[in-house]
Amino acid sequence: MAAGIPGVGIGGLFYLINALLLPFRGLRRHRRGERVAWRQVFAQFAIAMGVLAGIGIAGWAIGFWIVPDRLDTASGSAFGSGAAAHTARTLGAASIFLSIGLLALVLVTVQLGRVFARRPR
Amino acid sequence: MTTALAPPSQTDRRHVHGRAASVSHASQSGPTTVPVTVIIPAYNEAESVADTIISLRSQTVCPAEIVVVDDCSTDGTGAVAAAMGVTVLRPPANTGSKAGAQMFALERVRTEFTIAIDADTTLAPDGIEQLLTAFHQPEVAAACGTVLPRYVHTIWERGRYIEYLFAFGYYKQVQDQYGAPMISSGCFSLYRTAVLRDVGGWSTRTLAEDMDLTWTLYQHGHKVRFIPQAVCYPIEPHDFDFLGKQLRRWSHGFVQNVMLHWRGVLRVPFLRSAVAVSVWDATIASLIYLIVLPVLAIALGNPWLLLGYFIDVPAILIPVLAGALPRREVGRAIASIPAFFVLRTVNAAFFLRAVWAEVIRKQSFRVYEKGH
Repeated sequence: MAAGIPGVGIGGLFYLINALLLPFRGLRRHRRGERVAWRQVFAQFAIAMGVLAGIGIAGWAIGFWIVPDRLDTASGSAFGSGAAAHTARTLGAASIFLSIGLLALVLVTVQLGRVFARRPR
Repeated sequence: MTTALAPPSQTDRRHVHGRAASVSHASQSGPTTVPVTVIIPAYNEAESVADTIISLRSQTVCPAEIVVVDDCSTDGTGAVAAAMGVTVLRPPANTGSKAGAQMFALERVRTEFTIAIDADTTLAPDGIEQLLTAFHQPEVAAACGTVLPRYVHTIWERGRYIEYLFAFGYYKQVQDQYGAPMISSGCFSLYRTAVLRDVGGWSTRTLAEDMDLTWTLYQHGHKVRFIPQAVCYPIEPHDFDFLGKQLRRWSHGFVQNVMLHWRGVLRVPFLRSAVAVSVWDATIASLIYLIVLPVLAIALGNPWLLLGYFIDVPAILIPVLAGALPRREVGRAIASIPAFFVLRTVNAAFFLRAVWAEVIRKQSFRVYEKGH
């Protein structure tokens, strides 16, 4: 079975960051003398880079193409196209920072839970 | 039907890795017999159990015993299995769950390893051999492989196909790199029998016995591995009725396991973070996905906000294509992408409903409904 909803929410960000960190983690393990499956490490790193590029393309398409055009139309050109593009960029950046902030909040909560929760009997 | 039933090549008939290699050869030219007992719990699986048995018999290594637990089927499942020469066990009454049927058979397992496989699942010819490679490490107690739908026709099968390509080609591989695959899939997993017995086997206390067992193994200090080369092909729900039963079981099972194991999971590095993120996505992200986004689009009069449903298409597409390319299934994968977004919406609704019932209303769902 699969838990959660692939692609949606902070899960995507969580796995993206962890995949991007894999080569560094591999290097650390290698230095400690542990066996590292480099092929898998770089395969996942490459996929993560591809995902990152995909997110960038989607952001570019929405921020610089669809949204300014529609905002201008919907608002009766209340914004100039420059203002609309700025709004779109601000929204995009805000959503990225919000996701990172939420992920950090969840992970910090888990660490705190580990410290404070009683060990199961 | 599928490549899963294709006969193994001569080059595949190599030595078996790990301790299993010490077992004697069944014949000079045949595959090596390995100390593995395969348990197939089956309730009214007459149509599919034969394919599962044929697939097991076509392996590059030969399991010592194949046991079908005919859980008081009414469609002749036991007779089909018996006609194929495998061991058939029949409990005195229906056990009421897959875990119950598996436990009925576990008592009589005498081999070092035990495989759990569903009666609607076939394996790639080297599936068992690949899983055995994980047991080089003595601390590994369980191993699972890649899951892909056997049939990819209906919208639900197509959605699941993308979901699996994504999850097993990306998320699960990252989990394995960090030493904590979240679930050793119930449809095909290999266990050390002694450890399996030691932790109590498959439990009926939740509806997701595979997740329960995996998290229990971690809490006992054991390792679980994901071997992507070990591929299995279950029959996935082809219609909404079957899908609904499966998703209800999975979503409630997930919530039940989180409620049961959360303290113990907090002690397991990486798993605790992965589970927390999954819980968040199953609840908050589902709420946003199903309610907040459409409400905002209506309130602000901006339908373009609904782009949020598809904004991650490129991010989904990359791992999916990376998984489909070596299988030469790029066309099928691209054609199936829209179905994934439909399935994802349905998934979100089922997870929200499960959280509402289990956590808020305290109505635990305990009826094991078969839905593949």
